[in-house]
Amino acid sequence: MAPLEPHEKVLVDKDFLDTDHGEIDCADCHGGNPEAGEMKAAHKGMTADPTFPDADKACGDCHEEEAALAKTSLHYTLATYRPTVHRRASEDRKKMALLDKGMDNHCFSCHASCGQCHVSRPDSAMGGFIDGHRFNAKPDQANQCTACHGSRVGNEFTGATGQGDVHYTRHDMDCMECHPASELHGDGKTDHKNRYDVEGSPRCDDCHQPDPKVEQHAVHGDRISCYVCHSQPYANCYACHVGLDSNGLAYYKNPVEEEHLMIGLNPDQGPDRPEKWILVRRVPVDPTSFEFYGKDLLTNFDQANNWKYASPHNIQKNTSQNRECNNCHGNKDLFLTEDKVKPEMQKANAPVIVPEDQIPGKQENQGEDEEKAPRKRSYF
Amino acid sequence: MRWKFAFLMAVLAVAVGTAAAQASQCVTCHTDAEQLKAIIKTLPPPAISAETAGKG
Ligand code: HEC
Ligand code: HEC
Ligand code: HEC
Ligand code: HEC
Ligand code: HEC
Ligand code: HEC
Ligand code: HEC
Ligand code: HEC
Repeated sequence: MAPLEPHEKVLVDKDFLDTDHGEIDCADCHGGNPEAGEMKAAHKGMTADPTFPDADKACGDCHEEEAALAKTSLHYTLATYRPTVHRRASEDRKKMALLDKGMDNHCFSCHASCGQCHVSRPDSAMGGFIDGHRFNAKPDQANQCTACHGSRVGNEFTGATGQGDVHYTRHDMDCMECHPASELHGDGKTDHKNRYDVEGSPRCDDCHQPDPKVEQHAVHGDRISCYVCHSQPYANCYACHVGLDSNGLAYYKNPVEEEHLMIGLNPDQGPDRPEKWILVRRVPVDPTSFEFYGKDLLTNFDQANNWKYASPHNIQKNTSQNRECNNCHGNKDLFLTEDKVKPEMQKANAPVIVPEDQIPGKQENQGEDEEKAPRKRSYF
Repeated sequence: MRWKFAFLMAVLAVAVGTAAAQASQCVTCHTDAEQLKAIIKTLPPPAISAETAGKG
């Protein structure tokens, strides 16, 4: 993402004034005092982002549906964050309050409003117009989506780590080809269990019927998630810590990061996700993540697994694990066995840990036998 | 909702014709790169913590 000059961030393109939105008074959306000739006075009472936390006033008259649905979009509500962290929290009320303060400082500043997908770069990337204040129908992948979803999704998708995602590198597909407005604008639900629990969220089989002529598809049916065979190693984080520095500015430290690929058991097997085998990712939370705000805030850390369902955005047809049957069969390194999980976290992760006797055994007649088999002789 | 759109756009057209959004001080300043550069020189640089480390 190329940095913007400070003045470019706020420089309105004159052509914007001739667009549907540019014809509306600045002050109708932003407030402030349009008559004042000096910055401080003009900005008094101004709203920098008129689309957050509520887009009704600025957009609702003309985009009624989008403004209403936004109230149910995870990009607005981040509704899954607090319950997820609270599961690990101490029951002590005072400690809970300290934890919430930490979450408010470090988690809830990252939301995508209409403006951050259609007008400006997100705050976390220090803002600035994408296109001279024009309201673009299609968000900008590099300057908007991956300005937030950068360190995992963005890097893996574009190949900053690994070989990239075949949909992007070979077929020129961007985020929006799989994540349409109908998903991102909010689905009307208010009880999302996690970020995958969104109506309209994509699945591989929306677009692909796995070819049954491929032997690996035929033998395994729907017992193995597509990701297990078609992903490359992906980022796993171990020790995210947050706090405020001596100037009171929020910082984030995540010193331990590893790229690997780990197969686990699906804890939520059901009609919607029938596969028994999935990929799992070590998520960054640590018992002392919020220690800056107080001691022993996450005393129930082991109430939730910290190896979680993963859907890396680095799909390839051929991967090191699917190149040969026995790169996977009998290859313990690829499976999340008990020895790879800290003893105190084994109970919480039990539903995803693979017992050693369930690792599929080596396929006897693969590889070696092919070589031993007599070559077909050609008479031509 | 088409009629609502059309109606609002009509109201808007009238509003634009009379009030002239383009004449406000906001527009004058925010479309003038030189003026913005001069103002920014007088402002403190945006503050982000230097302690942030690693990826998330
Ligand atoms: C229809 C509503 C609307 C109108 C009219 C409007 N804006 Fe905006 N403006 C927005 C939204 C939405 C954003 C994006 C806010 C965000 O994402 O943080 C924005 C962002 C901005 C930014 C900040 C850019 C950044 O990212 O740092 C500036 C400066 C700005 N507008 C100036 C103006 C000026 C000057 C006018 C009049 C010419 C104007 N706006 C008219 C809605 C509007
Ligand atoms: C006065 C009515 C009005 C308001 C208020 C309004 N819009 Fe629009 N918007 C329109 C019209 C008209 C279009 C053009 C539709 C088309 O071309 O099909 C549009 C199109 C868009 C588009 C698609 C861009 C395109 O080129 O098709 C986006 C994104 C958008 N608006 C966002 C917003 C946001 C965000 C707000 C609130 C800050 C907002 N609009 C406020 C009337 C409005
Ligand atoms: C997380 C990103 C995101 C947020 C937040 C978001 N949009 Fe969108 N919006 C999209 C995407 C993606 C599209 C479809 C772009 C495409 O493929 O052309 C879209 C398209 C649109 C369009 C064009 C018509 C359509 O549906 O395709 C309008 C109008 C619009 N958005 C308005 C809004 C308004 C108003 C808000 C806030 C209430 C908003 N958007 C918030 C991502 C977002
Ligand atoms: C301001 C930062 C920000 C921007 C910009 C942003 N996102 Fe997100 N996105 C988030 C956060 C934070 C969540 C997690 C919400 C949760 O888990 O509760 C999320 C969740 C998601 C999800 C899962 C939930 C869902 O609604 O399906 C998808 C998919 C997604 N983002 C794609 C995108 C795409 C595509 C874009 C660009 C059009 C984008 N995001 C722009 C921060 C952002
Ligand atoms: C080829 C299709 C495809 C493309 C292109 C794509 N995604 Fe996804 N994405 C998916 C699928 C499928 C899922 C959900 C997997 C599931 O439910 O098992 C997903 C899930 C997500 C999630 C939620 C899970 C997580 O890892 O946090 C986010 C965020 C996300 N995508 C962001 C993006 C962004 C940003 C881009 C563009 C840089 C993008 N996606 C491009 C298919 C795609
Ligand atoms: C929105 C539709 C869409 C979604 C969702 C999607 N793909 Fe694709 N995928 C395509 C298209 C289009 C191509 C390129 C044309 C083709 O090969 O079919 C492609 C290509 C591929 C290829 C390369 C094929 C080759 O011959 O090189 C693989 C492998 C693949 N997809 C796997 C997946 C997996 C795994 C998922 C789920 C994580 C997924 N796709 C999700 C549309 C999609
Ligand atoms: C057990 C491993 C395995 C699983 C699980 C798996 N694939 Fe494959 N897939 C392969 C192999 C191996 C190939 C063939 C590579 C070659 O031909 O070189 C392949 C090929 C493909 C191709 C390329 C086009 C073709 O048909 O040859 C696509 C697309 C694809 N798979 C999609 C999927 C999707 C979608 C899923 C999940 C529903 C899935 N695969 C599950 C191993 C797997
Ligand atoms: C990326 C991992 C992976 C690859 C590659 C793979 N398999 Fe498997 N395979 C598995 C897993 C996991 C199971 C256990 C499935 C279950 O629980 O039903 C399995 C099960 C099987 C079974 C059922 C009997 C058993 O051992 O449990 C057969 C037969 C099989 N695979 C054959 C093959 C062949 C032949 C190939 C190569 C063409 C292959 N597999 C490639 C992961 C893989």
